[in-house]
Amino acid sequence: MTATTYRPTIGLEVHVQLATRTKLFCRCEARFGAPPNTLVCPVCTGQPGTLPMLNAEALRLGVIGALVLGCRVDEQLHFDRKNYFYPDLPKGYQITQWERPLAQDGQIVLDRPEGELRVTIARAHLEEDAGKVIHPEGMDVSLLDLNRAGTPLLEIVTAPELHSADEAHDLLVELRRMLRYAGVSDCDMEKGGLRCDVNVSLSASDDEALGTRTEIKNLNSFRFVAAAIAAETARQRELIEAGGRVVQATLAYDPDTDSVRALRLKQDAHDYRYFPEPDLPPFPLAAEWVLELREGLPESPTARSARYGEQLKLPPAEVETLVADKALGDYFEATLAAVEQRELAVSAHGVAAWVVNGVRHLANERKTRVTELAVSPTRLAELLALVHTGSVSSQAGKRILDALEQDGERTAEELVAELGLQQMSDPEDLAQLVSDVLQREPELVARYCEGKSGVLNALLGRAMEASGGRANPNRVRSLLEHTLDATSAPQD
Amino acid sequence: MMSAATIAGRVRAGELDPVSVTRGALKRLEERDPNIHAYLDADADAALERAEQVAEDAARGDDPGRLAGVPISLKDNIAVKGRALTAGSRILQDYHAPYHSTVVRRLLAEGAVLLGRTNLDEFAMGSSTENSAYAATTNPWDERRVPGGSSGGSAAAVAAGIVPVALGSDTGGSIRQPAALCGVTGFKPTYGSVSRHGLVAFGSSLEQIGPLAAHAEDAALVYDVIAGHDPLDPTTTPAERPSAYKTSASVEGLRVAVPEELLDETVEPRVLERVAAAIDLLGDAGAITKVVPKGRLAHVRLAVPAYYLISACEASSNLARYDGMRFGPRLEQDDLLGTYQRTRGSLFGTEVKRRILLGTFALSAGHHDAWYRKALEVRRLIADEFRALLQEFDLIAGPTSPSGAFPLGEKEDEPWAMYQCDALTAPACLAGLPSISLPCGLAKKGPYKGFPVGLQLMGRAHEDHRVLAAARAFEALRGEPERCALYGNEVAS
Ligand SMILES: [Zn+2]
Repeated sequence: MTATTYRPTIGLEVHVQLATRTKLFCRCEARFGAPPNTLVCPVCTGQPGTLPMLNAEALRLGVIGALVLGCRVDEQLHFDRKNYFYPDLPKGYQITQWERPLAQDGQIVLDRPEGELRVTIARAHLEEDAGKVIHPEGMDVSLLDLNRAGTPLLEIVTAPELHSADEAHDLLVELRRMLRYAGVSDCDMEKGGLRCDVNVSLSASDDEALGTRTEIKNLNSFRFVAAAIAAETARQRELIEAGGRVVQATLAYDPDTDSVRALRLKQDAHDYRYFPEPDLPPFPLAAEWVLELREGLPESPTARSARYGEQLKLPPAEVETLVADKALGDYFEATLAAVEQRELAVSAHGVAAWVVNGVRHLANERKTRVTELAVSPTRLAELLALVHTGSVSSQAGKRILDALEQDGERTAEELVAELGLQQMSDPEDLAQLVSDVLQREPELVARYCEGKSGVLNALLGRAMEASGGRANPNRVRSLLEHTLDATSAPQD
Repeated sequence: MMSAATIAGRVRAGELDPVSVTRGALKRLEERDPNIHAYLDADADAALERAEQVAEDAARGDDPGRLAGVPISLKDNIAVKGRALTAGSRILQDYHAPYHSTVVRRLLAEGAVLLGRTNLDEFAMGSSTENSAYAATTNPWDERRVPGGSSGGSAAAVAAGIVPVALGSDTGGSIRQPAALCGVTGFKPTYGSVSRHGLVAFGSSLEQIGPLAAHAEDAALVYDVIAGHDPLDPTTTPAERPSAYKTSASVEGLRVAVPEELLDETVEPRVLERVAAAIDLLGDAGAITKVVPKGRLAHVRLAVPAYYLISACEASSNLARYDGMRFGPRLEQDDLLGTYQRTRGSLFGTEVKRRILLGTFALSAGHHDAWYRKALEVRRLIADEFRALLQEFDLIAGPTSPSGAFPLGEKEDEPWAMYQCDALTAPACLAGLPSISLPCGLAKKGPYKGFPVGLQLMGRAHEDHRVLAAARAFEALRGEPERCALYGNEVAS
């Protein structure tokens, strides 16, 4: 008899913060990091007599998010109240969508090693975020910060169709990529812009019936989601194997101990007493408007990936890098456009190489985003023009890229002049350079003459170094070959 | 005292000093309020300062507005920036509103002088103003009787001749019933025509702010000022609104339904007698009145339970914010739950707690469908029946309240009896219709002998101007209203 193996079934509830300037039901800024209680007003602090006013931009982004996930958008917008007491919930209820979510029945397709995995998006709905209770260390008080109260969220719920921590992780990565592409959310986890609840249940793999479900609340990193699923799967399996029973519960994951602990059991579950929000009458969502948004949807990552590969003929590694980071891809597109505007014959591949190897590294080094670099796509295109016409070598180009970033004002051309990085193309200068290098490196020359032609690259490197990167590498290479072949020829 | 329209007209013409008008109102308040407790606070300095400002505007030649120099009192559940706002509850003791309600902005823009906060049943829950945490207001006609509620303070202030107009709020009858019991006019507008921004919420889907006035004309004037679409209240409707003040006051040719369901045996016979006489008066003036036999408003008998369920459900949620965390007193305990329980348990009154419990129960899992949803179904049926009847008729007429002013304490321990006070007024709230209560004489005999009776007129949604025009016509037919016995001719002059 073989031991039973257990298969986890996982569903995700993801809360993403919509990229609006203001909150969902008032005109306060929805911004992270402001001093406590400076982004508040009578509405979002729940003062008596105040009423919610829907932020149209939040609705628009919510619908776009739903469309990107392939959901069917409802014909009417309905809000409900979810009632519970907690100090961070100013009104004593959260305005959310319960009975009729904004959208339903979407799908995310994951490209898994074992093949395509289709995961159903059960629903997506709008709701407001709560504030924060802060417990300052060493003080016997709790403090309340309502800056976040009323921030617009889109809650996205998947069907329980995932079966491993790895699949859940991939789904989150793809979801984040799709939402960022559409400009729906920054999904910035460090600022709480994406938070995740996970449902886990186990079933014996020869038995279709799902076991009792537990929910792990409020995970704020993809790593923790995967780790929490692994920990909870193991816990449930051990429990079942020891003859115990899984109890329905809400759990929290503790990364320090890599384990879950119960927040509350089913019998203590909240009764949220949902009912329609009387302050926000049902609002029709015109089919034409939704269609307009659908038609205006920005290119999806999948479509962009296909276009880069098939149309622009970029190598797979560069496609992946450019598509993984939308900002980088956008930077590439903008540079390509600027290059085309100058009617330069630089290939898309050439531009991509500069963006992936040059710009991306620059941003990584400076720990900043490409959108915040001083080197704009237009300035990069100016540099590419100089490289393309041979005014500077591509090696010198890298130095100019650094200089462009540091300077921020002067053009590439001005910096070339200042740094003396004009490409060395004069035949006499080059001949002198090559002859100097050959004289300094007799050992390499000897090995070349022994037939070790690979040594040529080392000699080229020495020559480029000696020229401060200014020499035209192609011409140096042919000059080296020519000279060396001439010297070694008589011995044949 | 003069009507609001007269005061504003004379102030605008430079014939009347708003400061003297305000002084007069404050003097009457000082003399009469100790007997009736209509006011929680007179706010005299602010009122005089404001009157001076209106006087300066007028002197400069600026038009001081349609309510120039008119002293208006507000029920203390309407926010005025910087001023106390208690909703008659200990849980809002010392709370000051950080913003102006929309109605206040509109009144101030037309030159009104805000004079005092009037008493109410706690969070507007009650029909006698005995549920205020601060004091019970009494009826100016007889201090041993209630003024009705929950806008009892506003009704008593107008009935006592202190101010010509006051604002109240009406969730199930809270403007009209006290107006009837105090012998003044009280108007509940169509749901969505007056902004609720700044009204302390009780039953959000039902309530409206509206005027209580000595003259129907003033109710129309104030309604014109406060009504209108407000981006701060998404339930307000952007519909065009003809001026109620300028609509010609006539009932000629109006088809008036008198449904038997509103005249049933629970209504005091001497009240019915006065209402019947009033309806005859409308007929004499050219209205086509018709008694509609039982059946057309079959579900009206369920209005009270439906109204109490829906309003309690909404209240249980609306009042959750009073938790002692961000404003109001906090009765701190060792843990959070304890603090919530102590704060809310001690600072809410009995009636408020009763309704929070009722609403919490009716919304809870397993009971939601049997209670809350059922009540919504009844509400829809009632609304449909009224809509159908109003396709054949222009107005529906009947009594406002089943009784007249009853003795203080009579229904205090009998919530169900108290709830029946709303039997005739709740339907207009459930259906969202405009409805007015007009004084139509004093009961001739019985337990309410010598006390005022109210005639209720209801109209189609968004036809507030027609209801108010009919009210003005009726007032002209009836002649000067019989004045408050306490203050005799002085009030009428
Ligand atoms: Zn705000």
